[in-house]
Amino acid sequence: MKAKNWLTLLSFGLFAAGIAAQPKPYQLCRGLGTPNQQLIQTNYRYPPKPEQRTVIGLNRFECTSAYPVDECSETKACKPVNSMTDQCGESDDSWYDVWVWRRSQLDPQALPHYFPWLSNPAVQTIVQFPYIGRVDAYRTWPYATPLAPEPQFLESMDVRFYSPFSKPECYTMAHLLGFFNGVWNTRREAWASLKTMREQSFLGPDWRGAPIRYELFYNQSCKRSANDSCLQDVAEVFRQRSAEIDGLLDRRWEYFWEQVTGQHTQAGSFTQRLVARVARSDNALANWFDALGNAVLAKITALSTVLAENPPTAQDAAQHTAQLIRAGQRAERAVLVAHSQGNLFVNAAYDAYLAHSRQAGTLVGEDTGYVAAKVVHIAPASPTLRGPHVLASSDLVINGLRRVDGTYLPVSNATLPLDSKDPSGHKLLDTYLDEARPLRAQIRQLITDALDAL
Amino acid sequence: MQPNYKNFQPLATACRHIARWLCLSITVLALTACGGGKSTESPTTPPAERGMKEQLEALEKAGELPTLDRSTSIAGPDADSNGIRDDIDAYIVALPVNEAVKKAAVQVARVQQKTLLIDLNDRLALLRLAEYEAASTACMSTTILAEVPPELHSKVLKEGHAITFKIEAITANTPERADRYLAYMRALHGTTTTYPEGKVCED
Repeated sequence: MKAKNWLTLLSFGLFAAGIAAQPKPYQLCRGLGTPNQQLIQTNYRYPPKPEQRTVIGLNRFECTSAYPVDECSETKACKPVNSMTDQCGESDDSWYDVWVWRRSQLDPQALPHYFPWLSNPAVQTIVQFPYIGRVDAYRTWPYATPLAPEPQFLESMDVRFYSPFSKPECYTMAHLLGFFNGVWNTRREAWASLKTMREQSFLGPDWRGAPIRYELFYNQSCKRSANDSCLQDVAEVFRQRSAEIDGLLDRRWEYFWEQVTGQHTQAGSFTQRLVARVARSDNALANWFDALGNAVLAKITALSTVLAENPPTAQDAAQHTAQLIRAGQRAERAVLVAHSQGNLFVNAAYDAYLAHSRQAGTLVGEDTGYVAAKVVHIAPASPTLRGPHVLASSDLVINGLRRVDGTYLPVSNATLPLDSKDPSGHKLLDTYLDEARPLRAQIRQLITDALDAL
Repeated sequence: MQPNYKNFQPLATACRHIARWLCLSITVLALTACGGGKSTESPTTPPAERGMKEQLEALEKAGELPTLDRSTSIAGPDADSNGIRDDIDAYIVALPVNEAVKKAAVQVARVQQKTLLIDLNDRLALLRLAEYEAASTACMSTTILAEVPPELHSKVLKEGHAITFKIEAITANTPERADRYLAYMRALHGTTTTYPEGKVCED
């Protein structure tokens, strides 16, 4: 039988052309012959050039043979030997209907078939690609003697189909947004910040069709002792100051927590109600809260200075780094957003992740200039940066740090007046991510730029 | 109650310049004229300035500020054994929000109470509680944003955060509880927790 296996030919043609991307962006299309070490499962790094990661455009198969009926055809029906069998006959009058594949291409209107990747169900492998092809149907008599007659044209048609052809292997993309909080954040405050970034009005649950996993990288240590907590010092300020108002708030620590989370300035807070309703002609309570706020700010600034001068090491960031490596192995590209002292911790974690990435790249003989993470610094209380930053001119905490050593902190790059919502000018939610203020859009732009660059 | 001498500093300064007896006479006359001379309390303290503590307690009694358990017990009273202090139960019941949001607040409160009572040496339990904490944040946000038009999301989300912050604050409302909560947060230093997707509210 002269009919060719068209599928083999089609597969070869497609592979030769290189496989194309589809509606979801792919992060790695691994070609045949790729060493096993370069599997995404072990490498977590990606081909460095965008065109290698996300192949755009359609790959076409076109039959250019001078003998298309011989070389680009597939038998679709035949005249059986007899009525008792489906077996094709091989006599003079045995006809064979064949489809001649003139051309085929990936179907831009159809979705591939996905299958969840076991290492990370948020990432999917593409198991089948959608195609659309142009077919001419002919009737042929290949066993006719002495010469086979000319094929008889029957019809032309468009055919849509899926090909199980899945080399090179393609994966969809996934992102990680890691938030490194400042050490003065309570747990709830850190979660509120992360949730605000996850809101559709800011970034949302996915970016350009690829899911974003949001993760809190929690920091609370001022690095002075094994069980050290920065907030403990702020608590001490409250404890001492409460004696100044005859112990009025000795056992009312809800006011302390409002001070820490910045809720004390919000309408309807316990603090606002207390100050408004407990009257004294000298405004003793309001003055006390003002003094407390100033003392807390001074304490935070002083401790920030100490921490900036003795920043976290790779060892201090070991758990965070390990988590970043795991995220990379799950094929997630990370944008690490840090606020305040969280910038010191993100620097340590990023540096360690980068070192690990380079080491892994060297081992498999790949380029070592790529790491699957970018950093965005907000109100950085850190002497050095690993990415772009946003720092408000009215940020009293960072300005306080600059007064101690005016040379080593990043300069403010956003002019912003103080707002009564946040007397410190430093809060992530009430200043930097406040939707009524311009820095929110600036920060979002830095994050989306980082996502696109990965 | 002790008279509040701070409020009389300008008068005291003036007294340094005139005869002591004369000054005292003027002061007594002035206060008699203003107060009617009937008070049996210190004649130097106007009614509004008597006792911030009393005023504060009155506000708490009137429900304008929450009436909370101030005992030294970390757990505090939980008569119905629902994992939430009774005073916080009462606070949530009185919140001016719908039942669904109150239910989300209960989930937040239950997690907050656990943060004070958890064995900080039990690493697995600690990480699990961190996940519950994240789920309760997500539940509050999801619940309070239900059927809210997108243009109001930020405002309403802040209201949800405010409820959560208040529950955090009133749960760790004494020095003993605050210390425990600080220790809990310190124990989570260096950890990571994923913001949950899918079902986040308890049944």
